[in-house]
Amino acid sequence: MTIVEFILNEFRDEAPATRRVLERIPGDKLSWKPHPKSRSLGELAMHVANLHGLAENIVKSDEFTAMAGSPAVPKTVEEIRAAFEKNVRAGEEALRNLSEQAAMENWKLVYQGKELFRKTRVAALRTNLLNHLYHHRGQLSVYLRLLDVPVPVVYGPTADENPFV
Amino acid sequence: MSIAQSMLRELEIQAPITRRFLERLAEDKLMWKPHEKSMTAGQLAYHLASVPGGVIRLVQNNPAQAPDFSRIGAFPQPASREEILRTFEESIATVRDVLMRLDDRAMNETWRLMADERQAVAQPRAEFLRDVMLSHWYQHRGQFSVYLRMLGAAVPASWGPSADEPPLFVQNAQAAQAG
Repeated sequence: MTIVEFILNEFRDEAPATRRVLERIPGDKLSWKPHPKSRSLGELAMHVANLHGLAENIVKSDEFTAMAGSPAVPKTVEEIRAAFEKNVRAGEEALRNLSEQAAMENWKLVYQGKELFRKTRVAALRTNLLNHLYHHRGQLSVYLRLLDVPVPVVYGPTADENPFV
Repeated sequence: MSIAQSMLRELEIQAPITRRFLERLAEDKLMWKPHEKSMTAGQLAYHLASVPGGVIRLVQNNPAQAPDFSRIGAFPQPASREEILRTFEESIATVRDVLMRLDDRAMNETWRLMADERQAVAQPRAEFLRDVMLSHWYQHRGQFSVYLRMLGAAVPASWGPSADEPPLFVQNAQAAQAG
């Protein structure tokens, strides 16, 4: 398996677990947050959905310009799910067409006209997309728990669901 | 770079960040939990500490026997933060030791996990390590960040900034300037 195939498989194989988590988001709790400093449920879920869009960006562009200001606030769960599905499709398509050579070329993050960092595309996909996504999906699982929503299986059993028994 | 080398490089970057999370758990909050169905902060911290070493030990055998995942209450409750941090250091040391003995052939070999007589997992060893030693570890660190937030602790920066700290590349640049 090449590095790009490994990343593509992981991106595709992780999507169902993320979809399970997003499907449980209660539409009437989008503005709920566990602490005043926390992102709201809607902001966090939208961030998870939007993060998937980074796949297409990393593959097709040489740089990403980060925007200042507030996080995207969705009005409905449908908006979150639609963004997720669109980004997953576009991301898979982009990753299928990523050559090993392009994967080892640099991609950079720019903020207010200044380059924050540069790294290979494959490193950006690994760190800024995938690993970063798992972190926020984990946070979402705690949000669901606090809202008394049954927590779906991601990597292993939850207090509500156990794939091993 | 071999698969093992690239995983170890990632782990060496992430381990100090995870340690920072564990250090921020107040000693008197080990029994705290955000919800009656949740792990306690101590259980979650101990799990975060022991995952890397436990997973790398697990893949040494092929097939391996699955641990008992049937009850959340089965997760050990540490008695002190010191116990968590000691477990963490041992865990990371185990990865350093075992991971580099796995060449790419061993990484690409199909690895099997048995739950009693049933085959629960059959996938390339590298894939299982990626999913369970790393991705699953990041998921729990994300969960732990919400615990720290709810406990009023300052949340460390990790993949990006937290509400309390700028991103790590900014912190590193500031440290280099100060140093």
